[in-house]
Amino acid sequence: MTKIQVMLGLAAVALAGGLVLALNAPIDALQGEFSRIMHLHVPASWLAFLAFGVTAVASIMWRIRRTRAWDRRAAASAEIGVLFTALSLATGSLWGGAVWGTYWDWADPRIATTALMFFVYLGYLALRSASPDAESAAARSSILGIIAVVQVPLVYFSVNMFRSLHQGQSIRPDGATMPGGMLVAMLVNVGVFTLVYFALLAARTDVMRQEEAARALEPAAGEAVRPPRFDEVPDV
Amino acid sequence: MSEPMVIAAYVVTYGAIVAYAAWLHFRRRAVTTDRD
Repeated sequence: MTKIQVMLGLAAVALAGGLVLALNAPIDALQGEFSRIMHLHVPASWLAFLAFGVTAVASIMWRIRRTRAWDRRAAASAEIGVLFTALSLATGSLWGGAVWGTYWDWADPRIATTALMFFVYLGYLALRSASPDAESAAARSSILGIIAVVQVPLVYFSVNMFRSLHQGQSIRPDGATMPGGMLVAMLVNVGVFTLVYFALLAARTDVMRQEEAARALEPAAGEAVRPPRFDEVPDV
Repeated sequence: MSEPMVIAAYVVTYGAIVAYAAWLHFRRRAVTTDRD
């Protein structure tokens, strides 16, 4: 069994444990069962921040070191970040539909900035796909990966900077604004999702490495059957 | 957990994570099979 398989196995067990804890945690007196969505929404949002932060750090490291491993980490982390941003938006929308009475509101700064962040990182992935080779994909996307991370603090602090439907931070230096049982379930799920992130990151970078190795063999095989170019055909 | 919204949130989240892991598994298998 490989190290990645062990990590994925541990992540699966932790996910199951986190699920049991989330479903047995105390519920909010006003929101009722809907407060259980927070055990998914908060960890998914945290992972989006973490993933895009890792993309920025790996992009900086690629610009310094120029090694394929840093570029693969940046790309893999952005892909996982997009997945978890989508989950953050989806779970937030379901919770909003139930508790706020609206699934979506563009006037809410956190929803709007999170949606913007989602589309910018989709653009990051599209930019990589549109690049002709791995080196140009790394060179182009590393710049976007470094610049786009400014959205993370913008999303996080948007509830303090603008009028918002969202509540302010629940965990503050002077204490948490929720009961202990709920807080423990949420923090455990943040830890579980972080473990899932690192397992998926290891698996994704490994797949990228193997695909690059396979692609490196392709031109050599293609060369042998390449038809002659016009200027290579001798005059007869 | 009887609320459909809550069930939908859990199904979507866990389903997406499992689907992504499965997609990675099949991509990995495809590339290693090609090289064999």
